Amino acid sequence: MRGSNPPEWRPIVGRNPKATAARATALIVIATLLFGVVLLPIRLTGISMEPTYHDGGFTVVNRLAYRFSAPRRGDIVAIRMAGEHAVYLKRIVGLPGERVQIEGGTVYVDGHAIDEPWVVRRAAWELPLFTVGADEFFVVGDNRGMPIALHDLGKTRRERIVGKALF
Amino acid sequence: MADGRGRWVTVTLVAMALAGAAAWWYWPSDERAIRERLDGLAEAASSKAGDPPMARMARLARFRSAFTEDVHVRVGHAIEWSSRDALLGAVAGWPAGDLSVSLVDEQIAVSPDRQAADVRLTAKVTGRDPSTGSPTLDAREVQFGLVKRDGEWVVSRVEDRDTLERP
Repeated sequence: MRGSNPPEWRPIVGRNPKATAARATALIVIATLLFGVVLLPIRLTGISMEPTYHDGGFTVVNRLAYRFSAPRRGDIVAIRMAGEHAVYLKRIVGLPGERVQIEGGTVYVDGHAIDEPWVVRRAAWELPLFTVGADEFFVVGDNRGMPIALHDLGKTRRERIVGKALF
Repeated sequence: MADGRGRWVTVTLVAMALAGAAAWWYWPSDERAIRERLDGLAEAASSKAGDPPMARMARLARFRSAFTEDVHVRVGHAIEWSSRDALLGAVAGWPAGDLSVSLVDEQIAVSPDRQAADVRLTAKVTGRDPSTGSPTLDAREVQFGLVKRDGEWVVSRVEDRDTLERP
């Protein structure tokens, strides 16, 4: 079979069609595994993660990030809706069991203001004191300059966290 | 001879695999009928700015046929309709414009008697901001209740769900 394919087909199948087919199959299998199991590419819409991510931006989520460790404060995570075709991208602010409050735009965890270098503008958000559940995380976007009523924030269960944004 | 027989075996196996996949994909089932109903509903809820009035009327008729007379629809905490006519009146009043609705990540649970079903999914709505003209995307988790009437699946209940639980 080697070299038996007509010259006009060579740009497509190469000199050795079997080897080309094997390489193409391997590539498809690797891409399917990589994007079906490990990575989730995300096109961003909306401004709730400004200035870290802009409307129309792109990132990739590592689904295996929390396989052996728990999500941490400051991590940017994807949170699934009914599935993974549409996800929220938010930053973890409150961990399980913590008491969280937002006062004048500053986030307090267990009574202490937390350092959030990623927040550039702060509107005077107010959120009364509440406790994050045992298997929950409290997530907020980085854009604290927008009105809190227009900003999707809240508690989410651990099982809804798809993974951690890579960049 | 051996080469010829091997080729026939391969062709037969591939044909059987294709037939099996086609049967699995196209075999009639309640889940498949529900998916088709929801796809039709999403298509009927979508619109284009330049739609002629007759096309709009036909679309609304298809939209109407997807619901029971006593359908109950709740969006957020403020918007609620308790009949098909009320829902249709609201939808007919929407301004004509580019609006694309897609229902993704369907999780279908059919009751044991195969007469009712619950579907959890994500509704994605893309459109254009009327002031800037830039594309917009909104996604919400939605719970559908469907019942079988005269052999057809129709929607009897629609409620949106908060992915993030606001404290």
